[in-house]
Amino acid sequence: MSVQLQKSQPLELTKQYLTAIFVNPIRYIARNRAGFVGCCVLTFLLLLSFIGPYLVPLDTQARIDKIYSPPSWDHPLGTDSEGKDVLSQIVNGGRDVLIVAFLSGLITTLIAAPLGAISAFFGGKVDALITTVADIVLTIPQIPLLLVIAAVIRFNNVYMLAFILGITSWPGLLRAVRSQVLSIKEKDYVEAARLLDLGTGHIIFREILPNMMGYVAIAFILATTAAVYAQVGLILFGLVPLSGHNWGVMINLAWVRGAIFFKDSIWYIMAPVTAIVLFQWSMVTFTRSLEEIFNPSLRSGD
Amino acid sequence: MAQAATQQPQMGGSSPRNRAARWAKNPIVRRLGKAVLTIFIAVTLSFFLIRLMPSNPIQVYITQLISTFGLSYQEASNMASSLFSIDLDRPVVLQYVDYLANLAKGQLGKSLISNGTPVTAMIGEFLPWTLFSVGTALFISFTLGTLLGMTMAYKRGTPLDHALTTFASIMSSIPNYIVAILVLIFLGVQWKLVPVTAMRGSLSPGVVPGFTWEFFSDAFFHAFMPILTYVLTTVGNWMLMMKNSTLSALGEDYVTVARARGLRDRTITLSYVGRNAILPLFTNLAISIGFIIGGAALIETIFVYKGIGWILLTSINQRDYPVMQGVFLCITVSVVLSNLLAEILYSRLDPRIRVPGSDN
Amino acid sequence: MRESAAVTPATKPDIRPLLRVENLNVQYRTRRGPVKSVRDVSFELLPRENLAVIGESGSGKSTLGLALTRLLPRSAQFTAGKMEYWGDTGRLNLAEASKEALRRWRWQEVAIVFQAALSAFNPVLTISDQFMDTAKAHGHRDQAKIRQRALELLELVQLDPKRVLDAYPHELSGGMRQRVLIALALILNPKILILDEPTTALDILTQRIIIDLLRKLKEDLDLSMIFISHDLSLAAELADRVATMYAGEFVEFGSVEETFYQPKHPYTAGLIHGVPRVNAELENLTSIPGSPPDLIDLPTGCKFHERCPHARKMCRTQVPVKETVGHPGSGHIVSCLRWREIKHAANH
Repeated sequence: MSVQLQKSQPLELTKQYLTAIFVNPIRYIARNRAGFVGCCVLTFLLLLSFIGPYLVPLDTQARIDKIYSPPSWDHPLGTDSEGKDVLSQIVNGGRDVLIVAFLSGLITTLIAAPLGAISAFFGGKVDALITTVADIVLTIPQIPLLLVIAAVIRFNNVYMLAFILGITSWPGLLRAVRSQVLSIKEKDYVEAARLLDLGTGHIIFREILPNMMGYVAIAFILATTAAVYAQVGLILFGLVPLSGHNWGVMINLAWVRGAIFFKDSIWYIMAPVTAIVLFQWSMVTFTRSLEEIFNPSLRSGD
Repeated sequence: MAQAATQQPQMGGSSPRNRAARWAKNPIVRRLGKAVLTIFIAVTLSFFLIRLMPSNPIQVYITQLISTFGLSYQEASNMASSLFSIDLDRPVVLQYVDYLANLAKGQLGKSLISNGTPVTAMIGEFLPWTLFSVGTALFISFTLGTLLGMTMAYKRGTPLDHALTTFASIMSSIPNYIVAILVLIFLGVQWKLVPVTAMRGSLSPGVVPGFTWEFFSDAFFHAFMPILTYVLTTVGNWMLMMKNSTLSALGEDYVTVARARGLRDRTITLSYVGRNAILPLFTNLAISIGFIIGGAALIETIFVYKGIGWILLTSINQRDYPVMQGVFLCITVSVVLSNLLAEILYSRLDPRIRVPGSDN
Repeated sequence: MRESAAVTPATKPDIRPLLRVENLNVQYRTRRGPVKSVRDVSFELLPRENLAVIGESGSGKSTLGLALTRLLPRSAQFTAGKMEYWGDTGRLNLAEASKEALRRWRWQEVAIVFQAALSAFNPVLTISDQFMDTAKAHGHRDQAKIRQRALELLELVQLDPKRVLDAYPHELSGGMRQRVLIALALILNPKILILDEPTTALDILTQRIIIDLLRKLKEDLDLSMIFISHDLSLAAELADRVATMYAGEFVEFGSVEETFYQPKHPYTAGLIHGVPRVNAELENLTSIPGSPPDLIDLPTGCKFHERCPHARKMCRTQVPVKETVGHPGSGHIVSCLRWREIKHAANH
């Protein structure tokens, strides 16, 4: 395992961490072709959404003569129901979606990772309690729950939405983290540390957590994609009245204005759909190469 | 794990003093307990969401009645009480108890919008269609996914495997409502392969349920696009999972021993590799059921397929709180019950977890 | 008198061997290059003869077992000058037989009991199911008869037959599963039984039971056995002839008496001196320094020279040929450049 610690000198530790975090990933990502493409697409989308708005301002001018026009030199992705440029909407529409997704992914991970680790590490009654709660929350279907919550609470801002998404989606992740910690716990080096009586703190922070890093990173990415799914779903049906333009709102407008049943509107609809699909796909593919980095036994042997 | 299983020959060990403890350890008893607890928590959650949130929907409704129909507060309050099956004059805790008592009697309140139709009647009308479409889709997708996944494992490294793996990983990463929109756009609008508007609803007007060809074909006609969407969005996961678990089953010693025993390839593929490879998928079946039934709210709305998910979104959009509450509960109960079913099925198929307490 | 029959050289013309193998080679393809697991192995197995193949782990023993039953994985390349089996129904060319012919032949004629007996059974089928499907795959349809035979065999391996037959594998202990697998191996009355590390991973008591059981089988049944093991005491107790395997080839081959009391190959001698005096299991063969060679990048000359206490310069360059010890028909074969000069301490 690339982040496994054998020596405890601080310098050696730092060096191992640095290699594990920066050098090895690039090496292994380049090795898995699909993962590499996914990583490139992801980087492109992130640049597009966070740097792009400074270069391509949002087009606010309606053009009655150019409703749902196909791609042209002036409008590379065509225009919408008011003749506004679609490309500028795509460039400016990613930021909010991605911020909510990352934030809620972060909240999910912050709840799930420590609780999962505690549950697996201490076992017994603590474990039984945590897993029972997780099982129950996991069983209550998330989308209907969110729909009901959205009907009662107004999601006024991005943070509120991220928070609600985060606290409803941790159980699946918790179970995954828990089983991972359980398997690490069985490993020889942890057994050895326990026999040497190195203390719970040492075992958790020096032996288990470093080996969990990669796994937590993967869990964070998967939580993020789950948040995109739930968030865009809520926006699509107009239950999250986020103002402004984002990919979800674009699909919502296409839906509400009946653009879906309009043959010419295909370019307009396909733009946000493609952006979301590309984001989800690149994230998932990226986790596959991360898995290869952190779990050497998965590296293709042939 | 191996040592634990090796050393002590199990079975038996029936000392009466631990009977209660053993009963609590019985996996089926535990699952039932968890299911009841889950439903109870969902009930509580839905009650307090509607009743105690800052924008208390019942108060909103009362204010609305007063302003639109010029009723007195008491009249409006009485009307709201009867629709929500709640006595608003009582303290919240007692209201909660009443709510539970009504639930126990099977009363979920009445719709605010459609002239006081009981929510239970609405559920009875819409739920079967969701169960029908989701159940059919799950069956098709699970069967297809496991067969394809096994094929991929047996043909690993071939172009067929690469093509199917790529397809599966793309399909499993696209949100299901986006697939639904794409199905609608391409099959319905752009290529005009299916009559989208005629397919709305759950049955064509004039078709009566019964064991007739007309009924079944019409039911499938209307459910076609939701089923297609569920299958497309879930089959990829089954394929990938089955491929992995088949690969690991193929590496098991008992498969080599089965070949050494001169068993026919068919026997080995079905009852040695297949049966063991499919077992881990049943744990995911439970999660998948919840996900599909939950996601049905979005999919059914896109296709205007009149199931429980459609009525949920409709009631949310109309702020028809009793319906919303009842339907949410009903969806949760369906998920809990199908989880229970999947787990019992799993324990039937895997003898290792049949023995109470031998939980590894 | 059984002893004397067994010691009779394999080349004696009037006894037809059950199994004849000539120049068997097996390579595994890996990214680093071919792993040469079995190299130029030749031997004959006579009816009712018991052969032990001994060597350290990593010497290619288990691959030999898989190759003899044609069960090698797809990544293995297999070549054999000759690999033939004579049963009651005639000759079967194992190197070229069809998949279906091999399937029928396996377990009916040659059964193999693997090292991994713990996971040898399908966890979702009862033991009875697994006896039934084995018999059915070989054309035996009379369920009552199969059940009767299974009960007898389980009785023979000293298990409670009815309880075991209706159990699932996870309900049996490791030693019980090992014995069930041996019983299952005998269900079709095979002519040859191959046992790959039959006692490894078992506690001493269970090992004893298994060894006693195998001795009983040897005496009672019309059966040839091949033991693949690093446990020399097992070989000494049960085998008629012993082959020492090193780096994929037989470096010495002869009767138990000659090999154990007058070993000619330094490796065999080293193995024997590694055996504790009591007949206990041995984990490490400490008397031989170093570890088995990398089967991808084999040493030049004699493959053992790096670890051999008697190695000379020539051992590094010259490849030893197989030579016969004693009179031409003795069947004691050794492949060492210096076997005539070296006197190994006798094993008493």
